[in-house]
Amino acid sequence: MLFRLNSSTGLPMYLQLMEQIRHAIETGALKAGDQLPTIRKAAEDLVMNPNTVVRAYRELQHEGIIELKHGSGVFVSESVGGRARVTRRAQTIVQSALDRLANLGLTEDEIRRLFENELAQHLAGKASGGKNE
Amino acid sequence: MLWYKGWLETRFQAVFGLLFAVFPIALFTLATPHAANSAPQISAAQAESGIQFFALYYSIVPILVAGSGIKTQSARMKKGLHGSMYFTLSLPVSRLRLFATRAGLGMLETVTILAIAPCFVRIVLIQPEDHVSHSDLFAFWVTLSVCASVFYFLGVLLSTFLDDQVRGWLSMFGVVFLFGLLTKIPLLAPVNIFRAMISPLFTHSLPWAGMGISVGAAAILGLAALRVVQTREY
Amino acid sequence: MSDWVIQARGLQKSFKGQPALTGLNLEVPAGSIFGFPGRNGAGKTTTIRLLMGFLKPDCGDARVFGMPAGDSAAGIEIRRRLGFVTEDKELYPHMTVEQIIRFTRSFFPKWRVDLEQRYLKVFDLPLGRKISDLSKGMRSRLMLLLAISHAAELLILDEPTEGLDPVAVEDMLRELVAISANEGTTIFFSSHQLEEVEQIADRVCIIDHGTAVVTGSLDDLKTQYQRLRVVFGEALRSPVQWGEGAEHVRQDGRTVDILASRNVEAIINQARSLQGTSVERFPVTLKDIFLEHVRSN
Repeated sequence: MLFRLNSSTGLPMYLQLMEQIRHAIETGALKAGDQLPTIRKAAEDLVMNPNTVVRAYRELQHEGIIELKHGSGVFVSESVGGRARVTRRAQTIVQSALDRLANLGLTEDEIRRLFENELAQHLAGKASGGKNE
Repeated sequence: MLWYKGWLETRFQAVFGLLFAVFPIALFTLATPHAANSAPQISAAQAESGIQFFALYYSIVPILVAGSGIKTQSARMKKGLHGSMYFTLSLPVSRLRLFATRAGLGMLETVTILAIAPCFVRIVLIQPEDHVSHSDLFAFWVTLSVCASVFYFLGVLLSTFLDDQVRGWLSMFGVVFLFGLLTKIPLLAPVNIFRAMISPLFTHSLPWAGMGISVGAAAILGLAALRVVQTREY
Repeated sequence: MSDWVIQARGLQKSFKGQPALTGLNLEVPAGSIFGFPGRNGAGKTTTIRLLMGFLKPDCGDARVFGMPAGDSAAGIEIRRRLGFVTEDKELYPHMTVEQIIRFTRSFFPKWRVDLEQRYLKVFDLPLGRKISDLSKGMRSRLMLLLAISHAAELLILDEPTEGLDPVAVEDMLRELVAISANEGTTIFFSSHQLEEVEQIADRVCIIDHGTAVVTGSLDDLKTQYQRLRVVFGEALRSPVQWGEGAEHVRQDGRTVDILASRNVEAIINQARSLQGTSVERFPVTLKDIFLEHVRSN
């Protein structure tokens, strides 16, 4: 697993790992049906806590992105092909949004902060189940 | 392997004790090659107190050898009073066993080195007309060892709460002071441990009372040292 | 949960009138990698010495594997099942690497030769070299080898990566993670390198001035704690009583910085109701949580 996780970004490690696995699937580094390393191997290679790997794998399993095949290990779900299509569409949306924001005169940092802030509000709104404005 | 480790830690002290023990012989042999022929006539009492002095001298040996309780750091090592002590204490061994091994090893070294004493006496001090037999010399060795155990455990007890340097000097002064007291004060003559040590050479028998008292005193000192080791904090 | 490998309640300890521990509680579950960060002098080493039975507490109770830590008979059983790396990494200078391995092995019937061989190779330890000729980093690694190779169920490590260069640190962290993953060994380690704790620990307890100031699962802490930055149109005229959960508040002109441990939504609403023009959230690192808690003391 050629991931590089950063323990001091503030984002919990299991979320980082989930992100990186999703990203690997989107870019095609991991394809549907590919086998993921065992929890032990992943923990050792990435030098991270095994329980953290467990949690990341479990969450991804809930999302249907990876699946456990009894006895053989953990694999990327066959259904992620569909996900990749959605992702490509999403990429187009983001690209056009970025163009428009840049035309407004926003710098990269401003754009990034804007996105992070809105995303955090959005996630919090979902989590608390109500409006947050 | 505790014995081997103990040996590695006390071997320099033991060698020093050995040299200390051999020193008088070397000195005598080199300084007075013809002494046997020209020895001045001295009274029996003078001879006895002279030999007592040598008993004192050899009583220093157990103090030199007395390991530092169960501390495994020699005074020469830098900072950290305890150093590798923590590693030893983290092993699944009771403090009793650590103490007993160290004490046992130290006594073994002491008794071995003290075998030099009868040799010295034989070579240097005894005239053929004294009728001191080999079994007397052997008895002397036994007596000396048993009585010296008092000083050994005194050294061990002191080392449980003093560092090496202070312990060493304090013990030696203590022994010398004791010797002074015992020989100068007639009232204390019966408990003169040094006289007990050398008695086999004169009475040709073992001083059972003296040895009994020594063992008792050594046991008390040893148990006190063990108690300190078992209850102290590191 | 009765599956606590280490359990300490209300530990107090003073040395010559100076308090070192002022009421410490600790619970380490089996199989976890438990980080114990604190400043120098916070009480990390005192706590570890209490757990190892080198010291007895003035007050309070410490248990390892459910047995009393200070008891001499239980202590032998406890030490048979745990591995320990000391703060100063001192071993017997007159022995060679090979000799001390043989020495240590003689106390443990359940020695794992496979682990011994692995660490000899991974840590590159020269068998014939005298310990007095080893660097501190090599001694740390040797101590870890001795601690792990007898199939310990628990490792208590006092600043295990101290004195190691970054490559050696990564190697050691990797081996700790491996031993946890492969053998299920519980690892309890003190450190003042927060990045390392953040990297491999799943639970932490931050100790400061002899007591625990923050305890919990690392992931939960980083999710619960959030930093908020509120900018107001004009400086606030009177000090604000921020809601529950606003733990550390700093104000600089029109900007207020809040470290919140919970009720983040309520605090955000409060900020908006006070005409806060901009409310931003930032993720929080262990270092943030650590600094805020030890600074305020």
